[in-house]
Amino acid sequence: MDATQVCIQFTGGKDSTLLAALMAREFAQVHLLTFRNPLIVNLELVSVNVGKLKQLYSEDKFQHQLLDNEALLRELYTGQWLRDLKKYNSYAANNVCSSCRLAMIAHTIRYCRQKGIREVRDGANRTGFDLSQQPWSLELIRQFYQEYGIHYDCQLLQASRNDIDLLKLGLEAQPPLYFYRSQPLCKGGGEIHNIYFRCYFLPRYGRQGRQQRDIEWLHDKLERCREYIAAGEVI
Amino acid sequence: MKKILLLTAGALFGLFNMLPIPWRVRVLWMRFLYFLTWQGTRWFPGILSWTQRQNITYRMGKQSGEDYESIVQLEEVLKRLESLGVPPQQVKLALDQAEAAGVAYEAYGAYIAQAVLEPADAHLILQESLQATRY
Repeated sequence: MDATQVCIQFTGGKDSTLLAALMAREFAQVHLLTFRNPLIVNLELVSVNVGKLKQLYSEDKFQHQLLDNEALLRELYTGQWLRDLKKYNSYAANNVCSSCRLAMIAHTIRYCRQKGIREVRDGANRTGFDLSQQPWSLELIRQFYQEYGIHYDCQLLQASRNDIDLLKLGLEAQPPLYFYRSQPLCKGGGEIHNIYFRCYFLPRYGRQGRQQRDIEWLHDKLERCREYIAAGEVI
Repeated sequence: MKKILLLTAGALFGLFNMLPIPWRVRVLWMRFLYFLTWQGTRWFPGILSWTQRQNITYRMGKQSGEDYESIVQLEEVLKRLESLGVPPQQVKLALDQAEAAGVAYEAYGAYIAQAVLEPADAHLILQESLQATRY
């Protein structure tokens, strides 16, 4: 395993771009992983900030990979449909975002194992609404990476305006450049999640209820991710 | 009353998603939801402030000083300045001034536009960016 390389889940958004720029100062090689599935459109926008990052550092500093996470996303979301509905009720049917993020994590671990990378970062921060950015989930995710000998950290967790920090970083470069988010859109996954949680789940069960249900669901689905990683299919 | 209506609508929405819809159809449904949300926030901008109030209540998501509208506004201003070929050094100067003057983060987009552009151009960009913040 190589500690001179780091792997980042990269969308070209303000958080992951800032993180990639910061990690480029710490690591010799930065692997940027972008995921695609049928909900994601305008994927070409990712390359804008990959280009700017390369301009800021060097061409060979970054390796950008596009990975398809649809199969695992589907498996986590619909693979045990009846069992999940029985166990989690409507929570399971409205958890697309979380399934997608878990699929990304499982793919990231497989990628790291293939490349011998033992450092992973992502742009999760407290301003996020989805499961993967809640403090109770992050601890479980950290432990999950640890099972595979990978150190995971989310260094922007407490940051609030990464767009401004990213802008400053670009403007202070030589030569200065404009740095702002340029990312694909996820059309729909977040909407299901947001409408359901905001209109129903949170008003009914509150933050504590969500925390409890998230943890149960995560434990359950991480088990499926373990099987997927163990299967070791070629990415 | 409002809360009961919302809970009922949310519960029905949740139940609908429990139907065994084929994956491809579900993807289309999700994309349609995206379209509805986009239209909803465009015609009813109050949804965004409701979302922010909820974020504060449940301590999740973007909160005060981190609101989505100001993030999009700054981004739109920067896109336009870049496309107009305004040297980044001018933006840096404006940003330094904003910091020194203690301008709130939410107002950075407007401050930079007004500092770098002619008043009429700044007004136009800010109007356009307001449209872009509608999701």
